[in-house]
Amino acid sequence: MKVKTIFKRLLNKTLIEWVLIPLFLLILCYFFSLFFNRNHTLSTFVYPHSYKEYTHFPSDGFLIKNEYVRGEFQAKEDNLGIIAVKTTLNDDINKQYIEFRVKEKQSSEWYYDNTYPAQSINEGGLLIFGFPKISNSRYKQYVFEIVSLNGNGKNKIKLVSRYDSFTTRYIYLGKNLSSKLIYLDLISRKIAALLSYPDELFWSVIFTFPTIFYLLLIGPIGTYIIVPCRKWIVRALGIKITFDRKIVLKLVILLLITLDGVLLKDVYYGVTIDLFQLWLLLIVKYKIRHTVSLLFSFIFLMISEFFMIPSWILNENKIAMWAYFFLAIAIVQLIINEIKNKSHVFFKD
Amino acid sequence: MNIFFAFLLKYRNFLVNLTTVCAFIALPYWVFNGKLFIGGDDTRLIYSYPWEYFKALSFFSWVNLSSVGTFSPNQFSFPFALTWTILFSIFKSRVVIDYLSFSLPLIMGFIYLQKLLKEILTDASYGEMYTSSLLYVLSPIMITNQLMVFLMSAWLIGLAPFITWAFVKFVKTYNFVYIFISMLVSIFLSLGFFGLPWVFGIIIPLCVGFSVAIFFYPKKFIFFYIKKTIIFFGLLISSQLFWLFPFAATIFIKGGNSFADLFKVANTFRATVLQTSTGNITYPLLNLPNRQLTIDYTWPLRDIFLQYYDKVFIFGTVFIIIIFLGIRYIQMYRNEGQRKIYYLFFISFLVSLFLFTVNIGPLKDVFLWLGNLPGFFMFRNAYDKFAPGYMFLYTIIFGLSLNAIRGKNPKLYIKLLIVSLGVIFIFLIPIKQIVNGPAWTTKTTQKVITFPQEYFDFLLQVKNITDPTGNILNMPLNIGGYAIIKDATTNNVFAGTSPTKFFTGINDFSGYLSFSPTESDKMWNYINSKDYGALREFYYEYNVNAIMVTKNIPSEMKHSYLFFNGSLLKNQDDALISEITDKKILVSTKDNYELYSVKKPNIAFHMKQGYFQKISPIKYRVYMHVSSQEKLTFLESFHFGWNLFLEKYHEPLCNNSPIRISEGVKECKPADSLFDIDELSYGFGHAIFSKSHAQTSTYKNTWIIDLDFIKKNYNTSYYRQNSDGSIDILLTVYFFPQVYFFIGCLVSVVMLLISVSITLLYSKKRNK
Repeated sequence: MKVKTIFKRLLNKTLIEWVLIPLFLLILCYFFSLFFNRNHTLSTFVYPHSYKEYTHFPSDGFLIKNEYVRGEFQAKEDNLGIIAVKTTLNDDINKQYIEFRVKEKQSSEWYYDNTYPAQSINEGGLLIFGFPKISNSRYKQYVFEIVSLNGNGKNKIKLVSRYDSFTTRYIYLGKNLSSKLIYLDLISRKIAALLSYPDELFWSVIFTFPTIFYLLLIGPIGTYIIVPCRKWIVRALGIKITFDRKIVLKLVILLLITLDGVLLKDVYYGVTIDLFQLWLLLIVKYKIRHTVSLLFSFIFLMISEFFMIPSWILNENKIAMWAYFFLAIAIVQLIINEIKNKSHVFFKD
Repeated sequence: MNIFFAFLLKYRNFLVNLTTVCAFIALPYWVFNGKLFIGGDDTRLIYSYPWEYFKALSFFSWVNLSSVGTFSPNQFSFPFALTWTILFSIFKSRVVIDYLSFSLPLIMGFIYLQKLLKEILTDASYGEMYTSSLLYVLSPIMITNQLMVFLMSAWLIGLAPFITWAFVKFVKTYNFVYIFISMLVSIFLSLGFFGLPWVFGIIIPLCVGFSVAIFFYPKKFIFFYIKKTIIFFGLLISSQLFWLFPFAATIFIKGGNSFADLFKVANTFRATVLQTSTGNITYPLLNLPNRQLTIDYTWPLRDIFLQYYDKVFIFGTVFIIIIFLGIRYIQMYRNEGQRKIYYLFFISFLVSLFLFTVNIGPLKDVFLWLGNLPGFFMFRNAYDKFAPGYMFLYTIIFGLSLNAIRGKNPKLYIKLLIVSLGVIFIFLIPIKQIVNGPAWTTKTTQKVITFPQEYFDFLLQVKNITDPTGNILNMPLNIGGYAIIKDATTNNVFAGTSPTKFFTGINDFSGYLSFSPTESDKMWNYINSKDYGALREFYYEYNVNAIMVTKNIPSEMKHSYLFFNGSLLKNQDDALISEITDKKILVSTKDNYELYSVKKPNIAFHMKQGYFQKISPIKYRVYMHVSSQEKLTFLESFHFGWNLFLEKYHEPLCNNSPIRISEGVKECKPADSLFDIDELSYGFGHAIFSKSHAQTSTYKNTWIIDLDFIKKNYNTSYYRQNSDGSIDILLTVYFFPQVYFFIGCLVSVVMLLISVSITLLYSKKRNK
């Protein structure tokens, strides 16, 4: 039997629907877990350090003027380039200036010293201090200090005492990844690092939702869940209701996106990416027209414009974000239609 | 009468364009009230004092401009500076040439965006071309991003549509004349290309967007386009080699432990992105700049937002409506070719919108990750670097959308066209306040001035009495390398990189950026701790031989960001001046400027005995008496590019008439030369004592000159033998990377000639 025939047989609809697409979604899940993650990114290794590695800690845990925190740690890898400190800094605190410095323990001079407005380096409570990476940092002892320059009763930073009070990050860029073997080594170590960090593992679960949703969509959800539910509702309420699964799902996802845009003030990458993927899945599954995405893009833009008026408390940036996504989806849909309609010109002379 | 109306009707489009161009020419006269629009980091003096700029900055690869010397070639500005010098000799007015340079990119952008749209859209109407081009050049985004600061990148306003138009024409016709014209214009406006981050800010979205073309067109078609693209841009880039060559050399030829390398920039990509990418896509789509940024950083634009744009921003909705209707109609009422072009530009536009805004949820992290790519660091302030590219694509999409609406609903098109024009003018109303606004952290001090005659007279005298190879300390010192020069009649100021070098040829130090960060910290520590002895020694090391004090800086400027709200002036008092100066040697006519000598002057070359003469900023002649192994020290920033060439010996021309004698070394009157044909020979010449070339102190160059080596390897025409066994030699100290500029020039000229030849060849073939 020819290889082509075997391949065709293997690549039947069931295999694509039940294996390849879920596998692709899971790979996406892993990719998103790494990429859209405050701690684990594709090009960095992250290691948590316990509060026990703080050698000086403010008595009440608050960083206020002239108070400082000092940490000592052993670098786990080469290319140390970031130290991220966990705090309960929130958005209201924006006038605190802090000085950060780091050096090798034996060194008499600080390797890097800089002053920042705390808000500028704050990412959801993580204060992220970057510095020129140290290429030969592995197994060396380092010391860092964070000093508050003008903290007071209102502008204070609460440090956190837990097993990952601060993390050290080691940056591996393109030129370090010269061999495929190093790539494999890095990927396997990254998976191990991700699994060993419970918090991150927990947050990664959210990225599996599209896979679950997809399996429910193609599975016997209609026969075994929706139909009995509808019957139960009909019996309970004594009324007859009919609905189209496509419309309901479309409305539910759009409602969730609207709620995310309007109600959730902060951007939760997991939620955003999940909803984005769910909308894409619906478009693919039910052939939803580009005009729907276009209309929603326009509506969100108008809402964002409306929220720009000062003193509104909603996050217009987030609404505008959804406007952009819908617009991009609409254009991609149009392009795909264009390619489909004129498929004969696709890479043919 | 009928003939007159018929004429108007026939040439109405031309007349409207002509009127608009006249308005662009008149615009700076209204905005700047007859004063020069100068100042800032690049001083903008090239537009009003082109010859002075050319001599101080454009020609040489080694630059001292209110700082210790660095290898930072500025040759991209030399064709423009020369052209503008000729223009000045015709108009004899600095205001006219200054204002013309302000209007020219607007006129170019306005005309060539129309021409570009005409090429993209086969059935483009004048209404959509005119409105789009007006939107492009007069957008508040373009005004605040480019016209307000008018950096070199402002020329991209004209260059981007021009080059794209020429490219489209070339692809359509395969006529090489479009390449030739592009090369000529690009050479003249090469200073626009020097804004590389802005150039990439246009290219990157276009490349990403047009890569989608592989799904649209046949393979043959794509290769055909790629071939033409390579020919067009290959020749275009070759025309820029005269400055690209030396510029690339700065990346590949490091100066060792030179001063230039001491400016190691900390990786602030992430912090800058997080601090500045705070807006969203709504304002850019409304054709307005990022409001949040102006509020956060209390830019002068903030007040304009609060007082004006916050009240009228809603009118910008018309642009959003047009773009969305365009998407809707393009699919329904335009042919396949037009649709494809539209989609390619739209993808580019979306990419540009993302790169310009950055703050789009998870995409912000993608942008931060892109910071890992080599060179992407330059886009840390994306709101600035991607702005011209964004506006370019925004207006193209706007024009294409209007065209699509016209196809579906001509009546609606007319209405939207009129409203759009109205909104463009509504958004334009505060242009004078934006472009000619107050200096940052001041409320009333504007930045347009006429240099007072007192200042020029004073500098002329300074030039005559000050050591031409020494440095002047320009006080009070500030956080940059700026000079503050007050206007003759108003409180307006020139606040920009000190122009002392332009008008005297002598370098000065004027602030924190005049030295490397470590050295500056050291200096400010001496000032703050009042350690005047150490401070005197510090200035001696840096060859400071005169101190200039400006006394009429307006109070508001003294309390501005330039002096850290005034705190930098605290210890720059009379006690400091009396401690570091010897005596007052010059006072300006109105007592606003003073010049002092220093207690302990220095000299540019240190050796046991000899003469030296400055030929140009990159070339010195040193006549040296060598009795054994002698040390030669050159008080200029260390760089491996500084080389010694042994010349055939002749007597120093200034043997009996040195202008200075210090520490056994005589200084001859400088030659003030630009270029000597024998400089080309250094490209093939053999530098000597390069192995002994080393850095001493924090920045100086030192060589060990060996008598035996010279005697052994050179004949007697290269030295004069003295009776005591010592010799006299003539050395040329030359900054070798200058040669790359000459090579680049040669290649550019050759490529230009090749393009002329091909153009002629093709035109002959066509005629046949």
